[in-house]
Amino acid sequence: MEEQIQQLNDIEVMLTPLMMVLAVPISFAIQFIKALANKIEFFKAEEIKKSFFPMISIALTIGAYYIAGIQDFIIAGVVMGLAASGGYQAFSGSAKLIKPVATTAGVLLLCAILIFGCETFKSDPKAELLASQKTFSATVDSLTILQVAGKFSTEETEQLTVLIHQGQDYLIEWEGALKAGNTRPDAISLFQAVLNQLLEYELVKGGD
Amino acid sequence: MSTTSTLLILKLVSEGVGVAKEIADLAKRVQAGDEITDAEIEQARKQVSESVAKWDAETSSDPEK
Repeated sequence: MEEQIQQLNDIEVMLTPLMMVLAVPISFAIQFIKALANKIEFFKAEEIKKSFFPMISIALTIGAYYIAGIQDFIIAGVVMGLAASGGYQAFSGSAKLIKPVATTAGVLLLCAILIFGCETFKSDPKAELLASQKTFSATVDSLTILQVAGKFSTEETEQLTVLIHQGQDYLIEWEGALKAGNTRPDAISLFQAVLNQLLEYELVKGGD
Repeated sequence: MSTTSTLLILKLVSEGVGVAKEIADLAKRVQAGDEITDAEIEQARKQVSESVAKWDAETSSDPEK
């Protein structure tokens, strides 16, 4: 038994762009299924929701990865399927967002899920910071594109400006802590919360 | 779909796909045991500053926004 547990611990999933790209439509498909299922009384119970949607998500992901010919499709499907199943609240009630632009926010969201949920990044604090910096830059750039396109109101722009500066500050704090030898500073969770909010804005406006 | 909308979509998609590839490459490097250098982190910090500066410039140039 111990040997089997050790074997499971030793499994490594190689992350590929194809896996990430496929996970985005799967996330949207799950949200669409959720939106439909919410109209059926049986699926309104929390216990049903908690077990049914992750199972569907995992099954869809394993199937998609198998068809796409991804190596280790079962374990990769379980990992990505769980990530796509609704461990992230930003997709809630967003079935109406299934539009091409929202896919960009979806890709960024997947990046965030992978950085903060994947053992690969957790095992290397510097890589986790670097990936967060890159995702944050891309998120701010995307929001700037939407801003130029006139997608945000004055109030939203002000809120976004505050969040963007907070995110930048947390990243600097995180980098400082890392240099001082603290690999898990509070700034990580604070940054994560800010990034989530920014991506929610982008998901909503990207789908408008 | 208008040209403006198409351009907007293209810009956003290239942004998303670009970073996804970078994150995937980074994950591969970590799995291969490559060490992330301080210079890379500094470069990424500068990129963050530039992105934030771009946002500030766009939001402060038009007082109505």
